[in-house]
Amino acid sequence: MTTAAPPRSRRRPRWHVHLALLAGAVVMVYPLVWMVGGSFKPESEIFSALNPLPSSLDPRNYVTGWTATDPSFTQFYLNSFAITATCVVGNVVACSLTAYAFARLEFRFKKVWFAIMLGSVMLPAHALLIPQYVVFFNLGWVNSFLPLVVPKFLATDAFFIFLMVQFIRTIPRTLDEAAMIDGCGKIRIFTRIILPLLGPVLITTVIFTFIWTYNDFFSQLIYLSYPETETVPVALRRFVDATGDSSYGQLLAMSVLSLVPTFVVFLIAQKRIVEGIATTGLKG
Amino acid sequence: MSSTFSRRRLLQAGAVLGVAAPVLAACGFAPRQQSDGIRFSSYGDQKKLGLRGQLADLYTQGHPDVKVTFEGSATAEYWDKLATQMAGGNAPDVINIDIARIGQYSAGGALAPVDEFIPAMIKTEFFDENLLVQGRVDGKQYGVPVAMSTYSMAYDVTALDSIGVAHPDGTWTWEDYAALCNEIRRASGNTLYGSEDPSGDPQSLEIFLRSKGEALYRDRTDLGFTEDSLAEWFEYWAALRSSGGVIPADIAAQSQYGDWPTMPIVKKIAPLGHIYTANLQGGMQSLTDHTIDITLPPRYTKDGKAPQFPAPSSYLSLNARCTRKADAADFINWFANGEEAAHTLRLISGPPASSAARDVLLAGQLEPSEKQVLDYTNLALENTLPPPPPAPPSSTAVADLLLKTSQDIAFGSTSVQDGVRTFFTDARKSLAA
Amino acid sequence: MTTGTELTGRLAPPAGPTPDGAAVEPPRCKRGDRVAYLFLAPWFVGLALLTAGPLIGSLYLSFTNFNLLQAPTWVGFANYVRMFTDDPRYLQSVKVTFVYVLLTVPLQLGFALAVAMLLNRRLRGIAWYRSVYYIPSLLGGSVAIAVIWSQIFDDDGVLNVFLAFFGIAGRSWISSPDTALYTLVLLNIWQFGSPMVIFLAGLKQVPQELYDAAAVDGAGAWRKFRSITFPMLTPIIFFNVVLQIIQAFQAFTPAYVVSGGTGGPSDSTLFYTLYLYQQGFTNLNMGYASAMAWVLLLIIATFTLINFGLARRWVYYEEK
Repeated sequence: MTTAAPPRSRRRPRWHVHLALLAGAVVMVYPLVWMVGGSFKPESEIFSALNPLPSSLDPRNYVTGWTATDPSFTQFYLNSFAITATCVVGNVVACSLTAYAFARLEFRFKKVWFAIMLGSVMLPAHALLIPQYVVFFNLGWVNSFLPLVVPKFLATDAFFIFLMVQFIRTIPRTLDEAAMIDGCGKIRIFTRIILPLLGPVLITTVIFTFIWTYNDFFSQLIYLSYPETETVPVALRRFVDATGDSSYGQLLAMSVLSLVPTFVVFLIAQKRIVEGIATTGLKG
Repeated sequence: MSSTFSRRRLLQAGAVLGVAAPVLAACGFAPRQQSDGIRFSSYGDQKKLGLRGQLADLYTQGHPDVKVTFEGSATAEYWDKLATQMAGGNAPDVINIDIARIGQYSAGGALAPVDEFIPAMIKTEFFDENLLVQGRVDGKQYGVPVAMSTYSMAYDVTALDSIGVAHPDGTWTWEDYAALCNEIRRASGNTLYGSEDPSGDPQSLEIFLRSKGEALYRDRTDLGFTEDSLAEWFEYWAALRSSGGVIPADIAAQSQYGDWPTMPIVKKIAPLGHIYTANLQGGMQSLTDHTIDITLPPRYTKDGKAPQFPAPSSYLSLNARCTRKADAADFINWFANGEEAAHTLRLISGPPASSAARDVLLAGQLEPSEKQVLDYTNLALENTLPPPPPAPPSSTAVADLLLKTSQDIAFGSTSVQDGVRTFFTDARKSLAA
Repeated sequence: MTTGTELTGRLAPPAGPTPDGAAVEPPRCKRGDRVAYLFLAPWFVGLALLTAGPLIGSLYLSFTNFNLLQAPTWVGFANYVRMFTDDPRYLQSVKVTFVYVLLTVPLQLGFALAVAMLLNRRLRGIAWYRSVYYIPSLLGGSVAIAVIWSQIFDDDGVLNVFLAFFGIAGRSWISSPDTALYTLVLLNIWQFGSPMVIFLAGLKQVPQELYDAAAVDGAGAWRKFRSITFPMLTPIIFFNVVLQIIQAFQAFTPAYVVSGGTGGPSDSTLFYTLYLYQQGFTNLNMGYASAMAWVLLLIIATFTLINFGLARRWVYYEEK
């Protein structure tokens, strides 16, 4: 991000902005500092010392934490990535198809279907868990990734459908009409016009799906029972136990590591949100 | 056009990741064939789960025709998962279950009694009757105890020594306890409180009630104590709260949330608190650099009986839907009484409930900390009153109510009298439902 | 790939956006339905196979007594009646949840929009700022959050150390009945990353020419916001309002991790879904929990309908 400012920008001194942003950043990042600091401390110092910084950089918690489980975290990361990557693909494809239909196409009972779509996210997850479990159990899918990933390919994430509907509705219909005159059908309008213009929101979907699926502890707990299919957030929970040996140092060390993939994904992807469309056609 | 390029590149990267990761973790996508062996589920921390998983493998090695598959979760979420699996008809065959829920699950018909396998396959002669009875509902044995644990009082030796206050001994009364709390407050120049505030904890209330000859529940359908006793209990703690003998309400609520690092004794703000024996070496001691020791809980009068009792840390129970009950029963016996299991588990959840397993340990080398726990267990086992039967199914709702009532009183939003009356009405409603 | 994007070069200035919430319906063509169903096929399959069953299932359970272990028994409206006539903890959870929603939604969205506009500029290191501001949201509802929040707000937490500088005696903010809920509101505001990202994406959809034209007319920052940014952003603001209300009503994780699942102290953080969870999974009253879920659905649906009704007055769609 070293691009020079557009010449029109106001001549306000930039350090003002930097100062405000930095002050905010401290508030945002303090807990992370505390976590990283704690991950290098011995167990008895984590909660007793107020200073978030450790007295020495002892990587022991990282080494022991990574291998404290059988299999090690390597397997859990592979599983988490497999699930998340598949879900990302599913959500992007299925939700954009559905959203296009709701935003641009005409079909019977559209408003009713739309209400049902939105209504399906209004029931709290805990009330749906048991009936859903029964469905997946009868399909023979329990103890595999299928209950976690297949729903994404079937557009069950109404959040993203509605999000994309709202974005599609900010795209002028004149574009569709111009393309129609050029002989494009609905499908080509979708792939040639709508999808490219949805860039920022598709990236948003990628980010959110990645992070939310990666962190989705509860359904991974319920549907995956065996060590070789276990995921990172479920494994993290076992470091702290109300009725036993708790390894807070290892918990913090592994929590810090578990943030790395999501942070990297966000760091890379957020640039696309911001650069994505603005640099393409709109600057004229 | 740069964005078209970068978007394409991003899509490519995503596609590579999307293809590569599933391939690397391919096993997760194929639904696993339901094995015809035995599924065994358990809860606890990393170490305990690791050892129990090893035992499942060890049993399979010795019994090639019975493959035992292990499923373990951390305690907090184990129950959510078990309830879901039960409702879905997919719960494991051998279920590790705790004392609060064995009543709930057996009353719901989810567990199968193991009586038909006693004594041929499950050797219950190695278990103290006091342990067995806590897993018995309507005359049927619904669980085999694995290890035992006892309610005890922990005190911070380092803190008491530094302010020159004598250690408590095992023959104290509730009056002595209060006096000690206030003395700690005074001797420390108001820098320490005396004790935690357990007024919302059902186990602590139960210990108090037992010292008075009452019980938490009667016949698994009603409360086993009087309104006066509960009022006495709340007033006892209210008095200490106002003198600084126990921690203030807000700090108490903080530690009520259950994590060990927030416990007053670990935070070094109050040197007295209750713990279960198994937990001292099970992680509590390692959270503080002070030395912690344990002793018996207070009695009601000097010559009264000690109120504590040995409780099973957990049971192994049989799923009512299990199709290989005999094989499962054999595994349960091997796990609770067997030599390999005793060697592997040692004292991780407290001393083994089975005397056969204890003998295995006593015949070998004992760590000093293991000896400390075994000695205390022997002390606690002498002179105790018979234990209570399993809690009624709605005991969890009653526990919620007790916590809320104690906090309402501590924060001053209700009087002891009103709090007790509301508690009795609401708790009885839950028990009747 | 680029034919479409070239065309966006000339967007109509916001002179005449229609104040109309409903999509403009073009003349219906005969093949329309069929193509639409093609696009909707995955969603319909998902609805029929995965969504509808559990929805109807939970509705049925709400009229039963179901302890998860035995077959449910029909009890009619008993669960619904009990909720409003015989369960003070339920009414407490409704109260807590409404306070939470009313505070957290406007505050979090306002904050997210402000930060999004601040971060939507070209500045050295802006990518890092954006990522750092998203960190709280990355933490989600992990165990670490519970630990960190008590490190800040408990009796010897950072906040009290800070207050002590000014001679103010603090208390345990996180476990006093009259402040505990507000620490959770603060937690939610602090995790403002998701709406912020959506706002950022929305801001990028606003054509730069509009600002250029306004600059030529000599418009100041506030006028640009009033007459360009805000109207162009209304569909996205609308989305965030609708979804944040839904999510705030369903808030579970903050209270669960911070209060250890109790909703304490004195039920002051007993969120609706937390009580639902206690009833369903701890006390094994899944019938009652399901009834609670359907009442919550009605509450949320009412708020959403009102939102869609009001949208006609303030949400502008560019699609015409």
